[in-house]
Formats: sequence, C-alpha cells, structure tokens
Amino acid sequence: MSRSSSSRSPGFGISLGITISYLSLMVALPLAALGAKTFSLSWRVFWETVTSPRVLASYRISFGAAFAAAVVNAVLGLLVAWVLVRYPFPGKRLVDAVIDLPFALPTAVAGISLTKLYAPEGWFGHLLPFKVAYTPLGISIALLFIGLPFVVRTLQPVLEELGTELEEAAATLGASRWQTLRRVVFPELGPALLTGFALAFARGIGEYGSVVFISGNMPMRTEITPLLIITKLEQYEYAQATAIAVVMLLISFVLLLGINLLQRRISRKVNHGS
Amino acid sequence: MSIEIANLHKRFGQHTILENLNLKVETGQLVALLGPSGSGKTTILRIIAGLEQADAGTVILNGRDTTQDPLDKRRVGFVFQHYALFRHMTIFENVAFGLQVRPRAQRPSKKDISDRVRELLSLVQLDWVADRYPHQLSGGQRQRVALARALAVEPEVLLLDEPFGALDAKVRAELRRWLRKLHDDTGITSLFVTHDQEEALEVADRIAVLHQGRLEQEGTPEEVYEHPANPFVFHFLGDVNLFHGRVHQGQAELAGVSLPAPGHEGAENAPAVAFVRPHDVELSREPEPGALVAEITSIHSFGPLARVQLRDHQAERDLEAALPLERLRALRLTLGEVVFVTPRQAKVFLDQPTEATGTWGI
Repeated sequence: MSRSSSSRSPGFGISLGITISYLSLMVALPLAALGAKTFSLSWRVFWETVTSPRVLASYRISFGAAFAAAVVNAVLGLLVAWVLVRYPFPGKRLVDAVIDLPFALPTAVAGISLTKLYAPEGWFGHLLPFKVAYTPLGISIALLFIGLPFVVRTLQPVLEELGTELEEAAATLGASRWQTLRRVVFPELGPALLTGFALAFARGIGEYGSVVFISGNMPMRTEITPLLIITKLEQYEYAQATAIAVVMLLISFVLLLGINLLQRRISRKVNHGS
Repeated sequence: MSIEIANLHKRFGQHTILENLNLKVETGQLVALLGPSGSGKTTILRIIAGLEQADAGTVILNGRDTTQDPLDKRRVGFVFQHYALFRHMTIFENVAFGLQVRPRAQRPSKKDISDRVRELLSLVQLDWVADRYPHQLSGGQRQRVALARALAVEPEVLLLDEPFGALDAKVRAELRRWLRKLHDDTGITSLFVTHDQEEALEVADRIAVLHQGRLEQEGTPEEVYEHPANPFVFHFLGDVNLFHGRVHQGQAELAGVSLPAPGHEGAENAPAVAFVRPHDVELSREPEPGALVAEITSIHSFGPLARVQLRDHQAERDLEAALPLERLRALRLTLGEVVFVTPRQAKVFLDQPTEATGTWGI
C-alpha cells in the first residue's frame, strides 16, 4: 500500500493490522494446530482413516442432511421473512422475537425436545406413518430448527429495503403475481437468499449438540461426522480425529467458497447503486 | 382516451385523503395534479392505476367503468418518482419486460419485441444504453428509461407520479420540456403529479389544484394563475403580498391602500383579504397618492427579475416586489432606503365562510 492510498481511508493501516492479527489468533492458529496434529500421521494411515467406509458414510450424512435442511430453510425462511416484513398481524413482535430462540437455546435442549417429539412413541412420532427420530430425516429436522434464524435474519433487512415499488411497477406493466415474484422479487433477493442458505448450511455441517440425541448415532446410517470425531477423541486417537476434521473443513471451505463466488456474481448486477 | 373520476372518497383510519373528488381529463391532454404534500394527488393517481382502491366513487377510462378492473385490464402506464427500474435487468430487458410477460398468445415475436424496444429507446434518446444496467445511468436517464418501459405496453393513459421529484433543478427543467415535447409527439393522455407550481404552469395543458383531498380549481395555466378561484390557489401558485382590510361597493380599503375590487360591487363594508403578486408592486422615489412608505431590507438581483424585500414600519408588515433588472438599475435602489410602494392590482377575496375554503395555511 502506498502512502497516498492509505491516507485516503483513515486508519487503514491499523485496522488491517488488527484484523489480520485477530483472524490469525482466533481462526488461523487453531486451524493450523489441527493441520499440524494431522501431519503426525503417515500418509497411508491418514488416507485409511479418512476413506474408511464409516467415515465416508458420516460425511455423506453430515453434508447431505445439512444441505437438505438448508434448502428447506431457504424456502420456508423466505416465506417467514416475507410474512414478517410485509403483513401486519397481531403478535407480530412476539413471532419476530421467537425467530431468534434457536440462537439462544442450548442445542442439547433443542435436541432432547425434538427427540421427545419425534421418537416413535413421542407426541408427533406416534402419529406419523414413518420413522423420523433415529433416521437421517430426524437429523435434518434438528438442523431445520437450528438454521432457520440464519435465513430469516439475512433476508429481513433486504426485504424491508426492497419495498413494494418494484412489484407495483411490474404489476402496472401487466405481470401476474407469479411473474412478478419470479422475474423481479427473487432476482433481487438472490444474493441475500444465497447468504442465508450458506450460513444455515455451514452451521448445519458443524452442528453437534442438537443432532446427537435425535440421530440415534448408528454407524453407517445416522452417525454424523462431528460425533465420529468425538468418538475418536474419546478413544485417544487424536490424530485420526483431526484428520477427519481437516477433510471436513476442506470440503466445507470449498463449498462455501463456491457459494461466495456465485453470490458475488449475482450481486454484482443487483447491488450497485439503486 | 379520456379519464373521468367521479365522487372519489378515500380514508385511512380517521384521516380523510380524498373527499368527493371529481375530475375529467380529455383525450390527448397533459394535465397536472398540483398540490402540497398530503393533498391526495398521488392517491388519485394510484387509484386510477388500480394500485389502490377508493372507498367510494368511480374511475371511468374512455367511457368504460374500470373501478373494479384488475391492473392489467386498465391499460395504464405508470411512472414512479424513484424510477422503480429492475436493477438486475439491462435497460433493454427493463423496457421489454411489459411485452415479455404477456400471455403467449398475445406476446409479440422476439424480433418484434426487439424492434419495439429499440424504437422506444430512440424515442427517449437512449438507444445507446440498451445493454447497460440501471445503476450505470444518471437519474434523468433512468427516468427516461422508466418512461420508455411504461410506453412499451402501449397504454391508453400515462400516469406520472412526481416524475422529476428526485432530480436536480437543471435536469428537472430540461426533462419537463422534453416531456412536453414527447407528449406532443405521442399524443397520449397524461396525468402527472407535482408539487412544483412552476413545473405545472410550464408543462401542462390544464392544471387541477388540490388541497386536503379536495379539488380547489381546474383550468388552463392562465386561468388558474390569472383568475385563482380562492385564496389557497392564489397563495399556492406563487409568491404573494397579503393585505387585510374591507371592501365597500367595489373598492377595497387595505390599511392605507385603496384599490378597485371588481366583482365585489355589492359588498357593504365587508372584511376581505387581498393578494398582490410581487410583480404587481410598483416602487418609486416620488411620493404618489395612495402609496405606502417602506424601507428596503434586501435586494436579490439574480435572474431576469430582481426581488426586493421591504418593511412597512407603520403597518408592521413585510412586502415583496419583483421588477425587471433594468428598472432596478434605473432606480438605483440601495439597502435601507425608504421608497414609495404602490400595488397596481390586487385579487380580493371576501372573508366569508362561503368563499373561504377552510384552513389553507402554507
């Protein structure tokens, strides 16, 4: 950075310095330690660990359930945000406050409650013709609960800013309600929707507390990767645990990076000026 | 295509927005809805377009009652104050939107759409921006695109809601002249909302002056400016000097000034209020019969007319005079100087409840 450009944005040097140091300490250092621990394994053991059928199955379950939950949350979260922004109704403030509860509630509490509800003999469980608890579906339901506020809270301010004028313009031009949504509203919401989806997805991949109760933790079928890592730790196989974690981290990073790039491509069109 | 609205009523809770409003716009005219903010002018436009529903009354477009029609049956083009362009679409896509969302059976072919969009963009003199996005254009250009987009669906009526409200003064003036020309070229019946009297006077064929949900006066710019129906219209259509006094047999006595009050020959010592436009105020160094004496407090001499503020110490009131620059130079007026002030003509309104239009403070 040349002197002239740093003087144009005051505090650039010091704020960048703090940012880098903080990120190094809080994010990069623990991750580096993870990598370092993993390197204590030989390449062969590492490869065997991360490609064992049980680990591969856990990746499939973790990423699959998180993806499914994030997709559903993106759709329903959009609906919730839409209702909260657009329509006045009694108790709206209360509903708005409830949205944040999954942030605050200890995840284990959420997991135990959901298990009680969806277990085969539970309140909902015995009404349903199919099993929910102790199946991948149960995992997704726990992740739905955890991920919803991410989507809603990302979309709300964007919807508020969007206003109704664009929709009115589309309507005066003869567009139907559905055409207006598809061609005007959704493209405007695209970047925010993608961000909300990415946040919910990322949170779902790493979620542990609420899932372990409802999943039943059956190897190959309902065992999530974070649980497998804990199991390895409990067996004092620290290096194997970090190896699984590193691979999980890599996959997550690539996915999130992809989503970010996609989001940037969309928002370049939408978010410049007004 | 004419617009006729009859007995329109609209309330929001306790607040009356429109009260028994009647207005007719003849085919091919450009009419301004002029009023201060909160006068209900935008609401009228939105009701005609179908964006809002009136509580009572009818909207008749070209002799057909469209009060209950959905938006797309009305064939109305709407231009918003803040353009409302679709940000993720190019200018071309914006203008084409209204044609592309038509049901397949009525949708023009790709080539026809493309030809029509090019034609409209050249009509608004923006054919060179087709592939750009709205954020790459200036405010004035965006509003022209919005206009092209509204015209693309071949509306029978064009409604413009404060179309130049978000633009700076120079662009405003340019764009309103351009709108007038566009209207002359296309001949489409147009109704536009503005709170700027200069804009309304300059652009419109006819002006409807609104105040608190009621129509105060409707007429050509000359009619409403020269023959305002009531004090509100007079006040709203330009700067005024206000005199309180009495009218007796066609003559107004206004605290030291005596002026003819045509139309009030039958008045017997009735309380009245008189308005004098600044350009009807004469300044002079020589004492004249019936002239007021006032001290010059400020002189603004930009533009074709100089504006002189005066203080009449005796009656404790401020006056304003507007005079051509040459006249100002010839008089060689200076600040603090005491001069003689003669109102040349006044518009006199009797202070009667029948003639007054309720509260009209600005």
